[in-house]
Amino acid sequence: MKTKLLTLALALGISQGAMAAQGVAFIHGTGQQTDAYNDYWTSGFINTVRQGLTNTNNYTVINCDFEQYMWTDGAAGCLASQLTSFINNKNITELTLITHSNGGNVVRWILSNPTWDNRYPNIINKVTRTIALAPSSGGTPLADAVVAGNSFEQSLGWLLGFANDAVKQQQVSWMASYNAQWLYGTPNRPGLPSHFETVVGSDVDSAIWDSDSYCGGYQNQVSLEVTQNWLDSCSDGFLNCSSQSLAGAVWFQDKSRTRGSEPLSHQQSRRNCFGLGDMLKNRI
Amino acid sequence: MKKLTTICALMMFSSTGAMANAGNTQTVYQFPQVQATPATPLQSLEKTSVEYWQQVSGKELKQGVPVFVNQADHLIRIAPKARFENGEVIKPYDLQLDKFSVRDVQSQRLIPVRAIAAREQMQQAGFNDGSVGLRLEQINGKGQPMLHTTQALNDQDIYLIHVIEKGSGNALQARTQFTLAEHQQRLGVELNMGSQKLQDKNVQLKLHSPTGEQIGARYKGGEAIFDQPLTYLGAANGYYELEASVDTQVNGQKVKRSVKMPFVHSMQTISMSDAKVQALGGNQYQASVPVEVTNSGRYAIRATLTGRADNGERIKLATVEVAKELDSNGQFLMPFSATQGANAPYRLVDIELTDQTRMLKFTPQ
Repeated sequence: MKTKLLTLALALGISQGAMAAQGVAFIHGTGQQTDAYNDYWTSGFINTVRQGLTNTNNYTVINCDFEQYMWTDGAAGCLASQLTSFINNKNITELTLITHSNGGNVVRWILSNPTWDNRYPNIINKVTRTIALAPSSGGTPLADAVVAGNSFEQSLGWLLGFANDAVKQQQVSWMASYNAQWLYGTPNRPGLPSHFETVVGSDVDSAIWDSDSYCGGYQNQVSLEVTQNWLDSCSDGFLNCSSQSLAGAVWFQDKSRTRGSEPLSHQQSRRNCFGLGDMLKNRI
Repeated sequence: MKKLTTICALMMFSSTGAMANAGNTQTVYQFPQVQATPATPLQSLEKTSVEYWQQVSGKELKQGVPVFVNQADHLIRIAPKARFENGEVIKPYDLQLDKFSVRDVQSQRLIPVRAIAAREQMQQAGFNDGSVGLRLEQINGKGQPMLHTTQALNDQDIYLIHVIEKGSGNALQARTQFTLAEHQQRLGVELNMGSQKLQDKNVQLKLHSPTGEQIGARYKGGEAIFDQPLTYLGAANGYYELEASVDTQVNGQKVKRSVKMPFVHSMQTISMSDAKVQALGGNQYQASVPVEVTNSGRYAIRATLTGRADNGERIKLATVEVAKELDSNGQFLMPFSATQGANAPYRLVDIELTDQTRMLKFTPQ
């Protein structure tokens, strides 16, 4: 009798495992994307990471308008729509989300506000893990700086985008208010319903003679000299380490695992730099 | 595999959030674990500033604008700002870094200046508004540096001077009330420079609405007093922002600081009456919660169901959140699926009401 039950249990287990369809979604940061596969992530990065899937075609690259506030139809609503289509079309049962920068905030919005939109519960149930690359969980003083004294025009660029609400949202005090009232996963707040782990970029290598500085785009020393006026000594050139590690659990801080102990600048943490793609491939 | 029990009353997979939430059917979510007691609504926000910004005209920049710098480690950013004139947006000329110089107002001597970043480099650093950056090479605590340009700027054009002194001991500490109740035109504001509490005459205030309109405001006795009632409710369109500019003296030196603090204009848009809980058998329960709303929109309730264990102790059984569209009076039906049995009386605790349309949170007393 015991043997029969064990056999049945094993059969059920195998059956469930065989039926489970794992998928991965790549979710970009601030900006309005129409071809994030090429423009934001690059094919080299995506194609490396998806090799970690049992079915390497079970991936999607999100293209939404993350210049809007995270709760809007253009941001979280668009993300919910594309994730729902992906889940339904591929019969995904276990979904891993890979986010970069402000994409982590949009995901946390969905995971923290389950009834905001009736598509959210099904997505929350399917998400088993979020790997947040350099998430702007605590905002950035650079967002405050570019918005300062700027009530008429919202002018900014670089990684943030232009004249958008997402930049206002990522001001440090604004994110503090969202973390305190609307988002889960930060200290003294309810936990997120699934594992949310972060990769933290701690430095920027801008040595002109070092080829590693050019992976993912070169950030010159002068621009760093400007941004360092607002950032801590531990930052990825855009976000302080404290902001990146505020929500969820830290999976690793760049130099502890990257090839050659290289730091991951904010551009590099969404590219195939220093073994990051392989680490994600093995993680999903 | 996660053990989640979710009942989604309506699952319409459509392309927009508005469409997805169409109809008056509830969206229901049961949390995988009983949720902790919600935090007390955010009362205040704190911020520290070691920077200031001010708008000047092209004419002023040509004549000379005082800059207040008290330490070697600093950056002076100058940015052209668009202005609105006769229905047109007018953007000033790009700034030429090599046309700037700084002179001490008393001795009239030139103060050496280091060009830090031209427009292209500032753009790479995130300031894509035509900013340039420079730094004074000598700081004389007794002098008064005047920044001016020989560039042929239009007199009426507007520029932003933005100075940051990283690590300065002269940090402005701001603490402001985060939620302003309806009909109130006074917001609690604490402004200190070290141990020095700032006087009313040292503080200038501006209030910016979520859509960028400016509202008159003044500082009096630890409060910001607004010239007119606020109109936007909630955070759905962003926050109101109170901007404080402070001029004070520290150890005989003039120190200038600016800070911006967000807050939300709130109104109790939903209230609830006592919930009734019915045991359906098999550890299934349903709570009905009568509510009344002042503004139509989408609302949510989150609550944890409790019952009595056999030893009489009150135990938490499950946490559920329900949302639906409401116009006036209505009720939420909250289905709870518990993993353990419990005895009556059943009661809802840790209740949080949310106005999802305007983005407001309430904790019933």
